[in-house]
Amino acid sequence: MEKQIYNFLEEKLHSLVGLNSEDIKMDMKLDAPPISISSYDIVQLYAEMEEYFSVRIPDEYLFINKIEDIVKMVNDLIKKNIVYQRKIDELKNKLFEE
Amino acid sequence: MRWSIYVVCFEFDDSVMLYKSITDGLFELPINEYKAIKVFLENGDGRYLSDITKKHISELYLNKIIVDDNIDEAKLFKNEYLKRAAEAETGTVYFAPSFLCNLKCTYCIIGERINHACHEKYMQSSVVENSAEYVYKTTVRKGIKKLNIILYGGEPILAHTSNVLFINKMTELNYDQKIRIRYTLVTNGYEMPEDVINELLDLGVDNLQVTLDGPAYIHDARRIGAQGEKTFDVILQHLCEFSLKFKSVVIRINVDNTNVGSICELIDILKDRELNKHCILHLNLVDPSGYSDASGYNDETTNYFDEIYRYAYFKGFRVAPWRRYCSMFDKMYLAIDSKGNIYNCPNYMDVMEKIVGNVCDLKYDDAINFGLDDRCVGCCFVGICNGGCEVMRQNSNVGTDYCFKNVNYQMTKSYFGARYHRFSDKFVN
Repeated sequence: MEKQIYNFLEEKLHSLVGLNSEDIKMDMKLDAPPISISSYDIVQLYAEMEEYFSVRIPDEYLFINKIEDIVKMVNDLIKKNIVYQRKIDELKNKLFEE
Repeated sequence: MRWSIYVVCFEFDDSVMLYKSITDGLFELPINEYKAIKVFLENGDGRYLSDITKKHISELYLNKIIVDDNIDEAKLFKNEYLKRAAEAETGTVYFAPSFLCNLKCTYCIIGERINHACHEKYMQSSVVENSAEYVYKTTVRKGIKKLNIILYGGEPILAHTSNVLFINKMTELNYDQKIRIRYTLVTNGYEMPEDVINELLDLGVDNLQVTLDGPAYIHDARRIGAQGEKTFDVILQHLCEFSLKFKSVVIRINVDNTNVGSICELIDILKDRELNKHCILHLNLVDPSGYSDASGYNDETTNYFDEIYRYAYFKGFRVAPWRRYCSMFDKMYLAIDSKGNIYNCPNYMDVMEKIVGNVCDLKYDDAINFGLDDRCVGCCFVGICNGGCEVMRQNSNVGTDYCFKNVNYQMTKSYFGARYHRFSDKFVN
């Protein structure tokens, strides 16, 4: 999953600032050169990740800026969400099927 | 099954947000899904529900947005509330070693009282040391692990020597770092000498709050220098100069019917200075009072907040959520004035009958009873209001029955609408 998140970021950064994949490194920060996207673009990027990976990213994570930290954070949220969805399915079976 | 009594529903064009204030849980559903669930809760017939609706109901049930019919939520909440207060590990202290201020704001809650009081201008050093000792011992006795200390006033920069002495004494007492102490400087930002700020930073004061009430032509008419001077440009300059040095910076904006129309203009100014990169906006409504006609608690003001919150998000700011919270029932919540008098709330400072002790004689009545009014226990906004501000009700002309419910509804809806629908509308720049 981490690779998928990284690819998503790579694609978005390419369309936002024109950086090619070989120019993007895991220790780069979104608000520092050579990326340097605006805070509005950062918020929008997070919103697109939320939609694409079906996770809710809390606002306090908006200050996570380094690419490797973002990948890890989204990956952790996805894992948590899988457990959460499983719980909902179990409850659904209990409430409606039995 | 039924909706929890603590759930409030915000309807938007094509969706509904369900918010439970006591758990801070928020769910958004398409309007048709909401209607289908509503019908199910009314007739209990689940035979024709789609799989996705069943899943939504299950998720809402899991998060107690929907609850069983026979559950006594108010009783459970009250028990939980008392338990949380007993188990809390956080305390807050407002340290105000002087009421001296270099501003005379038009709406200052303590200004009038303080100006007529025969007050000690500065806290004596022995009282400062007693304050630190008192705060440390009380914190340990109560089993508090995290302590927030707010350097307050008056203007705390004018009492720098007392603040330094207080922090040093606290550090000495807490040599084993048993308590995690977080210091916040609440300043008007008008005087920020570099050596003073650097010394505070070195001592661990790494949180800053500064207030701006609008663009210069608004701010300067409200937050006036003690000699009548304009203050906006100087404060903005200080914010730009120092904000990156602090770990957390809050720009507080006090909003009422007289300045609400200019807040977006202020947001533009802050954005132009790139203050959105590091600062959090805290939009606060000015309390109705007996000493000023200005108030934020009216439709005239709150109706603007859809636009203000959205604009702030659009400009890339982090925005503090709407809260009208009273913390008097925390494990420890107190304020200390220049004479060492102790109060249960900073807004009580210098009201003689509200003194609950003094740091020098170590007498302190800390029996804070469960003060939540019965009418508030079952209110859907109790999680963001906590019964509201008693001081405001007692000291102003709004009366003891005053309720924040309508304002809480409007402000919460505006906040969540802006936060989660920020990409759904175009803004006019």
